Amino acid sequence: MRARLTAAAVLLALALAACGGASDDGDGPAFEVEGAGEVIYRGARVTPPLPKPAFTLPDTEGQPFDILAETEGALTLVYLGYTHCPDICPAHMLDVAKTLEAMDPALAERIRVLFITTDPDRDGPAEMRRWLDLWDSRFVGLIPDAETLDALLRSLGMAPIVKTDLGDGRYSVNHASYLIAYTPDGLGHIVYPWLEGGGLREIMAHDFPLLAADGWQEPS
Amino acid sequence: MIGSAARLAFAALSLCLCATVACGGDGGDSGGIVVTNARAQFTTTDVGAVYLDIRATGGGDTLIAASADIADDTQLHEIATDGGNAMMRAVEGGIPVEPGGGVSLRPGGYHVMLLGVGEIPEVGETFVLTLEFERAGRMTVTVEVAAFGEDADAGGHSHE
Repeated sequence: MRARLTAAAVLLALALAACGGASDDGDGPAFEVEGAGEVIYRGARVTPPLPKPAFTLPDTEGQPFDILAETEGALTLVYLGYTHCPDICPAHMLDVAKTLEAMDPALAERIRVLFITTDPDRDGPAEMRRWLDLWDSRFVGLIPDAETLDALLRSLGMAPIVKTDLGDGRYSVNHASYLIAYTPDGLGHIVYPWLEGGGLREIMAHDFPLLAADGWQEPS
Repeated sequence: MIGSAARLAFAALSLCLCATVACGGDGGDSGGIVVTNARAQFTTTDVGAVYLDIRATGGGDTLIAASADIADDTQLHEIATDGGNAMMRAVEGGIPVEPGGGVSLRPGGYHVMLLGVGEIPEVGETFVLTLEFERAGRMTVTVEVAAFGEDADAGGHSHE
């Protein structure tokens, strides 16, 4: 039930994002969080906030990575996707990398980026590492087994994995089209959906320094 | 002789502009199709996406197929996002090009999907892509391999 509520909240946030109408030209607000009549964050609010995945998953070195313990107190950016994704996964990760690169290094150091594969059958440790190194060698790649992935997706209210057959044994995989930002309070109050036509980098560049420096500030 | 020289010149021109014009196959009724800005993006896996702009100078048309020697299989794909869930799938019935208008294949929308790419080309390299339109027939375009993120940059700052 809780997962369902969360999913509904994300849907609502994304529906609101769609109403912003910025997806076509990159101008104007796409989705914003306001407080006292002022824009505080430019990402999309999720209410109730998403729980941080309480899972320990193998990383690209084959070592267990306890998400809660490893990311405690950090602004933690989580994306779920796969390396055979030709289009929006790489674009999203590149935008995150470029945003961090342009930030004050002292603040950027407080940020952890986790990429969790939704295609564990094809994304082995070496494949994941090679792909993540295109964007930033500090990005952590996590590889859940199918059963764990299913539970993790459920915990976030995300749709289960569906493979679409592309012939000759090839397939595509669905995944959430937004990056989740977990603030140091351990909650995902805000997400950064894919924006067709661009503009995501500017939105994240606005929010990440605020979230890294001060954590989530509840709008008044 | 003159004919082949003209063809060569035409080929050189289309290579330079990354654009090719295919004339309508049924006496000009369908008008021409112009393809520009063909570029591809690859990461570290054996798949790639080609983006391009198609303009119909006369009647409408439909892009029904594509092929490239560098890939085992080439398909027309779209990204469908539903409530924050993204799914890539084959386009059914081709990609429509409106009469007198056009369609842009771009990230998050339509793309030509290259599957089973044997050797991932470097940024700046080019390869030939054959497009098949329902009315205009076949045409080839030269695709340049672009650095990832060029589209994001353009989208963030341009005003179309």
